[in-house]
Amino acid sequence: MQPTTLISIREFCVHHHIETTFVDTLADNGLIQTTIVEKTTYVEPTQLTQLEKFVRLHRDLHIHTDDLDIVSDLLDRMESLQSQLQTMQNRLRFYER
Amino acid sequence: MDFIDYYSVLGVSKDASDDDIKKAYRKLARKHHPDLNPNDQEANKKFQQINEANEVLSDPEKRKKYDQYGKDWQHAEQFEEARRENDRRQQQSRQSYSQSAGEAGDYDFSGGFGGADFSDFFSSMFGQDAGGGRGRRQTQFKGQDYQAELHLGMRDAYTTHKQTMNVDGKNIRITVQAGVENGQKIKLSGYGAPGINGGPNGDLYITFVIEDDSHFRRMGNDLYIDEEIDLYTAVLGGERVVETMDGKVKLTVKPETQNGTKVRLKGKGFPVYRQDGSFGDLYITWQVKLPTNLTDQQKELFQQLAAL
Repeated sequence: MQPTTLISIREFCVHHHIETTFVDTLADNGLIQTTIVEKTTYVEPTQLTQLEKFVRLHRDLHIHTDDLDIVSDLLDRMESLQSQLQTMQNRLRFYER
Repeated sequence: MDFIDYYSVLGVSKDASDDDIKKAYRKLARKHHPDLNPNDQEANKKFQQINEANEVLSDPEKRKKYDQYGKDWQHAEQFEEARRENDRRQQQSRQSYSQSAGEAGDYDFSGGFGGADFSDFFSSMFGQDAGGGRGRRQTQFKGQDYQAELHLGMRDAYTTHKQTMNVDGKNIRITVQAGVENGQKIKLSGYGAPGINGGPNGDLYITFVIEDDSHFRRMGNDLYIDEEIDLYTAVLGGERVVETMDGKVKLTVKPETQNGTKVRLKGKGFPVYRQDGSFGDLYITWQVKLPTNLTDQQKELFQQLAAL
């Protein structure tokens, strides 16, 4: 019985013309979480945006699967820094008035 | 529709080799890829240009056509039309002799990328469906994400209210939650550009820009104001009516209040985002204003005070 709320990795890979090993490596590196139900691997719909981002980075920029880990980490840091910068700018605006 | 110099977009010379083009594309794509530059519209636009330039220059047939007609691209379509007409005539001629079909050399750059991501210039030269190739045919893609800014006054951001925005010709009604911060982003799933080949729509990201208020300053959920009191009230104490976001309140000024003294009105600040009934505080700084243009009598009294 296939749970309707999960997306089959096999279907995802066929759809995006990628090897299932690509997704397996991402899961092994802890970049996405997969679920195995009756020997079939699935991914939660909430992970889809992230997974598609990795596919684009891999395909468009030829980033090696193993290196996506580093890229992802740096992007997270960049997002965090941008958020901090916004907070600082708001504070600065307070004192500049 | 302006002529686009694809060579300068990629920063290569006209006699660049395929390898040079590939290298230049990769270098620029790494710099401007939308996934590496989230929320950067300029990078997004630049990436599309790079992609388009690569689409043309990495394909020998397209590059040949571009090199041939580049600056006079307006005439390319006329030429192609004439060529197609010629092909049609030849085909009709062949069919009438041999009854064989399907030999016509259709000028077809079929691909799944769709013309949507390419400039009018590109579509004009290579057709609406010319983009794509490299195994991406018929692949579904999520539509492009849109970025929008919504400017609000501080007093607008104080209450939960509805706002109508026009995005890409469509009116979108959103609920702005009280307490939204300057620079805060919200995502409206599916309100971006339509998906390609039946893919899901992109998302709409709205960044709130909260304008400064002439009376209140805001830091997080707390509000700050300066209030002037005269010297006599500061020394002897008194009462003062102060404006808050939700009305006026009467405050007692303690005797011997120093200039710059802060008082806090708990719960009279800004609403906390998505926490109904929860508010920050309002801080009032007393600014003691010294009297000016003193009369002789006032001066004498001050001298008496100073001598005590």
